[in-house]
Amino acid sequence: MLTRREFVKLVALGSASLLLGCVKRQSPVIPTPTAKETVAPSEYKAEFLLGYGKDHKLKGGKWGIGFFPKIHVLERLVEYDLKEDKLIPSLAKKWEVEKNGKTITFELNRGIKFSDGSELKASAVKFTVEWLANNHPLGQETFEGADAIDDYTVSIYYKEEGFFNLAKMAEFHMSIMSPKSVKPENSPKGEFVWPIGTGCFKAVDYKEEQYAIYEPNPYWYERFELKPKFKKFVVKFIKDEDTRVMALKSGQVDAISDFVHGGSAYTPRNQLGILSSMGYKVFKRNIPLTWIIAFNYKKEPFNDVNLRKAVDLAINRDDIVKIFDNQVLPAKTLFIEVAPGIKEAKAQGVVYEFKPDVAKQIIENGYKGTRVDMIVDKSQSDQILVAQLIQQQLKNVGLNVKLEVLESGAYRERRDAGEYDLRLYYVGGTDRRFYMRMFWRFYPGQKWSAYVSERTGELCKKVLGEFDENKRKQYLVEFYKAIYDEHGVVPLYFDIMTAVTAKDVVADYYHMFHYPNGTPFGEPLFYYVGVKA
Amino acid sequence: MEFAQGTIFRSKLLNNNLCLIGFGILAFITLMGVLAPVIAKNPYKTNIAERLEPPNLKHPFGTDQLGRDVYSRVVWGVRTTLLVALTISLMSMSIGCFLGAIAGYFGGIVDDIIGRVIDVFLAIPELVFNIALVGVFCLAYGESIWNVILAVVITNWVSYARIMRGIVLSLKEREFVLCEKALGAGDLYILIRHVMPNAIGPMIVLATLNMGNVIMTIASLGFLGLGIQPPTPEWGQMINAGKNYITTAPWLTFFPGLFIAVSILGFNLLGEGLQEVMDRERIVET
Repeated sequence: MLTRREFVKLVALGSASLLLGCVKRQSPVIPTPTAKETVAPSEYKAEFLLGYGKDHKLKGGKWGIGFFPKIHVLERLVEYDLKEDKLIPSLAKKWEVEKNGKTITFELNRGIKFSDGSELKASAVKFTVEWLANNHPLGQETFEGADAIDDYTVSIYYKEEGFFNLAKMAEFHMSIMSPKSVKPENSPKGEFVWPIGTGCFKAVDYKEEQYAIYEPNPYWYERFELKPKFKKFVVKFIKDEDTRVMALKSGQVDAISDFVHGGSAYTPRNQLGILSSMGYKVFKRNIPLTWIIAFNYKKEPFNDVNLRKAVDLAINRDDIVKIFDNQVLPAKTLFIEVAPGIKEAKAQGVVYEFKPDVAKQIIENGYKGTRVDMIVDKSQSDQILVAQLIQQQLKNVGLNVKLEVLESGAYRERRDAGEYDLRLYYVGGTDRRFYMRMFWRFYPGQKWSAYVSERTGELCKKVLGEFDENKRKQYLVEFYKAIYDEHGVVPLYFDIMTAVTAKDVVADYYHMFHYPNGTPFGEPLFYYVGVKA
Repeated sequence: MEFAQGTIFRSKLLNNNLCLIGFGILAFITLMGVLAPVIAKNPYKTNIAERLEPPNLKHPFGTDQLGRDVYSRVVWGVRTTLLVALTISLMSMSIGCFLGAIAGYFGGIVDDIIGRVIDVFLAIPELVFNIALVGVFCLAYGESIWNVILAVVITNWVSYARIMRGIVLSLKEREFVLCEKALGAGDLYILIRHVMPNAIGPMIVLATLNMGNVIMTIASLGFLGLGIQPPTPEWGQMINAGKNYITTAPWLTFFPGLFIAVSILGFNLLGEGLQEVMDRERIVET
């Protein structure tokens, strides 16, 4: 039996534990930078808070760390300039292609340092390639191996020939990391521990599904003669898109940004106009990512090119972009105009048009009363709106669409099982993914394919194999024409990459989408942002 | 005699203000739902040129993000909401009354088992339980309106069972039941012929009061994106779709919200009125 005193003690102890449990969790203590101190000028707050829709996976995963740290913590040997359709120097200053792309030898820039102070040498590139070849799905299908010729020259050996090997080197997954990122150090089969790179940020703390904390990498800022405007860059993972917008509106974060992978976890486009009118700064950049209607073209009724044509002609793209207050552009070509080969294809009449009367005629001549299923992922409010509009546009020409708004898991199941007729999908990505996604969406035998026929598949192979820019452009034009002729997909609108910042954030478009040396980036970069104190 | 009693009861109902107001509100809303094809336009018809228009003569409740007439969607939403709510209430009442009556009448181990099940269900917060159930049903059977109906029925029958059990417990000791037993009538016969008809009055009151809760639950699930899916017009889902426009286009959330509030008010007033009339009847009887 408890005495009264014991009982009171017990209750007090219990209440205290409860209260402690309820106290807001403090941010973890950040270790002081070991390298040169990077002091944010006093006119800026020490901390920058970003709301982001996806976990950064700083401890690794099947596909490595997240895309955000891949472009902020790590760098690549080359970057891709979409406008010029050229690979441009980054960590490598030049390269030489041998055996039609089976071997590429890169010469590295000197004096580049990882965030731990060690110098970037050929051995680190060799290690990265070998580690990817052993541990990463894309590395496994790409690399044969690598050799460090000297401290600053490395040869990479590929499994297949072709231009695609070089294009892939600008891809997120091919980012170069320090051999100290794995345990045991420098082991190609080592376990990934923590990302150490040459990029603008240094990863310092992380809690799965909650937050990631970065600090400026002093060596990177020194390289580009810049000073950061923050001491600590905190990324909060806020999965739900509306909650992210609300976090920005309530001041819980200084900015929100799109998942740079494209296609998911982005700021709803239908919110951009409202946010802009409320005084938030909307930074957006056109990227070669196009939302499309994808058909289940291997089964009836969309195995018929005529019905696909009817759907194509029934879509009023100008109306679709009005849902987004014209923040995005209608897709009357497969990709934005700066993408390679698009202007030339357009000149040859590869333009997607709105001709509801023709569409109606096609439907009446063979598909009257046809009912088709369209599946939509519930987590994307934009796509639910677009799907409802498409349903009406198709109804106007006589095609009945049953709309099924599904939970993400159920959506994936239905998609993978091929239990649908229509769905909304995207082709392309940020600039660096232009050829990568062409491979994934249009190359024969791919899991995430959008449309493949004998003709388009062959042309896709030619595009990805061709080193000569002019010939590649020609193949691209033929490829666009083939997709257009076969109505393989129906382009809807060109998507963008965005970052939305609060009113007191200091940021500019140039630094948001360019490296300090002028290299264009399709993804928003946060190395030069700050919050006014 | 029965006719006279019915007339007296009806006159008491008609003299009860709460009943009259509640009934008036519900009759008006139901009539809107019934006449939806006549008094409202096609709720799915989009017109992007007219998107997000504030209330005007052409669109009395304004238009939504796709240029659809909010008035038409709200009016067609009456059908969806009332039909679903009615189905849920009837199913819950049937299950609850049946189990409650069995528990109350037979007592013993039957009562213990049903009683503990009721306790377990009452211990779980209703909306949280509903969300979990809808999620599970969606994964198991895909998206369907029946997910919402089943989920709400599973949590909603409990209140009927609890009340029914209490009523049957008192009724089974009454003279007319004892008399039937003495005459050799079977338990099932007594239960169906004598006990349940005498318990049905309070159940109707409960069902009326409960309809408000059910409408609220349907709207809450719709708001959370778990209920009826677009493009079907449903009030909770309409509020969800309009919540991001609350400062720029408040009519998207105001009118569906108003209809939810008014219909709940209607059911509550009618339920309260019925309860008042029945309580007076009981006082007169005793």
